[in-house]
Amino acid sequence: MRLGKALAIAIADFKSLWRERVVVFWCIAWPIIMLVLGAYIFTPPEVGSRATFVVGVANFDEGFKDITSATPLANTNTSLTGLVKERSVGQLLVSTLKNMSDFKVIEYNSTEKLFVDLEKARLDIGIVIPGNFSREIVFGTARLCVYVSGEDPREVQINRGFAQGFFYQFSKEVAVSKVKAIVKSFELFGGSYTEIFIPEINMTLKEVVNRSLMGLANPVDVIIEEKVPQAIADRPFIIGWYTIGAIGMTMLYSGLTFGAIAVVIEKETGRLDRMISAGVRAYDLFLGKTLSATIMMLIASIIIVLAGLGVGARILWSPLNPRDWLVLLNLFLAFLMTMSIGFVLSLAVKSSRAASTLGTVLGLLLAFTTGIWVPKFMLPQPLRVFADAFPVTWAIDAVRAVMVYNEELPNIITTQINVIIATVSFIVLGMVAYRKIIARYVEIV
Amino acid sequence: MKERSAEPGVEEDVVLSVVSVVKRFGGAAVLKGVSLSVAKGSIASLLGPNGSGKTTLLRIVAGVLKPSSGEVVFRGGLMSYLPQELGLFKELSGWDNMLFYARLYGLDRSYVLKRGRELLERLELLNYAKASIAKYSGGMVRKLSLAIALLPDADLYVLDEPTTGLDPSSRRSVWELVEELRRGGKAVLLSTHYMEEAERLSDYVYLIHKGSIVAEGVVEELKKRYAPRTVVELHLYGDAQKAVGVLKARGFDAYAHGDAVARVYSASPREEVPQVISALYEGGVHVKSLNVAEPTLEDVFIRLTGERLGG
Repeated sequence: MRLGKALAIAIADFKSLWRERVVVFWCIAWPIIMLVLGAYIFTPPEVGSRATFVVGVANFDEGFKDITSATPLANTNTSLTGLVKERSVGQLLVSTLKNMSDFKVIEYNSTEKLFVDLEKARLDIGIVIPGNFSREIVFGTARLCVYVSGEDPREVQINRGFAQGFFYQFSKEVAVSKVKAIVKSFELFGGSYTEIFIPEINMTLKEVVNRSLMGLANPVDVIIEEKVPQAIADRPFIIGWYTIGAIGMTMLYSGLTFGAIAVVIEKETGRLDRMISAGVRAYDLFLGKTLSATIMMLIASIIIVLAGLGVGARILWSPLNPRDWLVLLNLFLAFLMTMSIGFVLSLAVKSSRAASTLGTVLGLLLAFTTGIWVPKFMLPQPLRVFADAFPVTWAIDAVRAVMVYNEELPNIITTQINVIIATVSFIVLGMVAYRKIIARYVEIV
Repeated sequence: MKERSAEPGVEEDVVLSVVSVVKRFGGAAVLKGVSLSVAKGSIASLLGPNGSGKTTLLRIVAGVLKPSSGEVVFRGGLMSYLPQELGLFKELSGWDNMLFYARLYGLDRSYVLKRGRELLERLELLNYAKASIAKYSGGMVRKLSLAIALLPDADLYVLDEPTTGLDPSSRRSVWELVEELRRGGKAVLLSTHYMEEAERLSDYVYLIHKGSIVAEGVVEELKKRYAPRTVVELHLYGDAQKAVGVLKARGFDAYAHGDAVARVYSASPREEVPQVISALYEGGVHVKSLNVAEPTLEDVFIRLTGERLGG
């Protein structure tokens, strides 16, 4: 009989919620709007693929006119000298850039036009190759002017880093070529002298010169490999992250609102008096309201997941894997926590309108500051601490761990236990607040 | 009017007894030792202006509030309560609202289908039963709320202003339904500030004013006791207060009943009406029309409290 009353409340309340356009908008339409924005604006299709840099080049290099067949260097037959006989190093640099998939190269005849495009952020990087570039690169230190631009400081920083990396490698290649040319010349002019064997180091003189100069040209051979989390490397992971975030965000403001409004709306409409006189008690109302809101959230979550899949999210869930059922448990626990917070909020409100406003505003605020909708690494440090300590975030992260990152059970079991303990604490607090608020309106509970 | 002279609280078939109930909110006493009783097959009315404590008393009877002192004894199995706030889900249809309360009362589905349909038909709501009540007029919502209150086969029906906001035709339909409950042996406690409703329906009337029962009894007895004289109602061209001043100066028992209406109590209207008109004429107040009527419960209330029922 008792369960019957709670069930009757749940059925009527759910039907009422489902037919209320504002509720449907906030529970279903809004998270889908945010998800689509997240998928196509915050995470455009090129995210996860390598960036292409737009490079403008003004090449004034006149080449290496002085090299003739009489020049000893011309006969060394190294790649560098061979090249400079054919064309300028500037041309070589431009064609190398053009052949690299990371760059889209635009050539300029004047520096003025190049600077204009840089200032308007039409270019990421601008390169001005001076007239004596080829000559200086062979016999001295060549100067190359590189300019970086970007639409925001972060992009400028990225472009600068990429340009520095590229020209560091370019300088190294030039140095190696120069060393090879010098060693070739050494062989050419040194004759048999270069073949003197030095027993202490078990090397010929030619080998000593070659290794020493190569060491100067390339003193540290740094190997940089990318080992990044898949979540930031791959668009489906990012959208998967946002899909669960959309569910979390919806749970926050819906749970807070449902909890805050639960009793006051019954009072305002007169249903509370009528239900109490029909034998309904506080826990029947609590159970019925929680059940109806949970069903609403379950439906909303399923629709959000389908929408996430529709925009390319990576979502994993199998009913055959017992671990995957933790997803439902965690969603339920997260919702219980938010509803409990809502019951505490209800102590501060005196009308359903105030409850609804407070729940929605606070819910959205929390979604953006607790790592539920905005990733923690984007938050300022104090908020990261708050996000790490917010139990609803633990539950949502546990859902992500299973549905997006396919984490194994042992990796999430500690979080799971923490979520359960936190939920029990929240429910106790929520029940205390709930009983206080219901006693404000009716005295026989 | 039903003959009933005995005090209802001492009868064997009493369903509800309210004994010396006091209710305080903060320091203020809203009810100051109210006692009443309702017997099987009878209708008891609480008649009083807004703010007199009617709703608080009914909420205590319905089990929503606890009395600060005193007691409420309900000797029945089931009580049905119609609150002043209608207590409905506006997003649901009339029928869904009815089903919701039927589930709370644990009513059998076949009974609900039969009785619910009958009530909706009687209150001219059957054709709108499946429509969302957001589309109902105010009167329709109130009738639906009443239909839901009358749905359970209760021993006591507690109805807080059941006809407020209804048109005269709907009000008569409601009265008929309430009278049927009495004929079916049910007890009804209703609150109203409509004197004609109380006069038509009540077996026993409790006049409540500022949290106290100022008089109680069968309607005719109350009238005889507190307003035995005929009422002459004068519609004036001038200010009613001025007219009352003129009449009181001539020894008439008069009071203002609105801006341009004065009422005079008269033991022998045939002789006194010409004197009243003459006095007013001499006092510079002109009479537009007049009518002579028997006193109502409102006259009783006015005699007892000096205030009108309509506030």
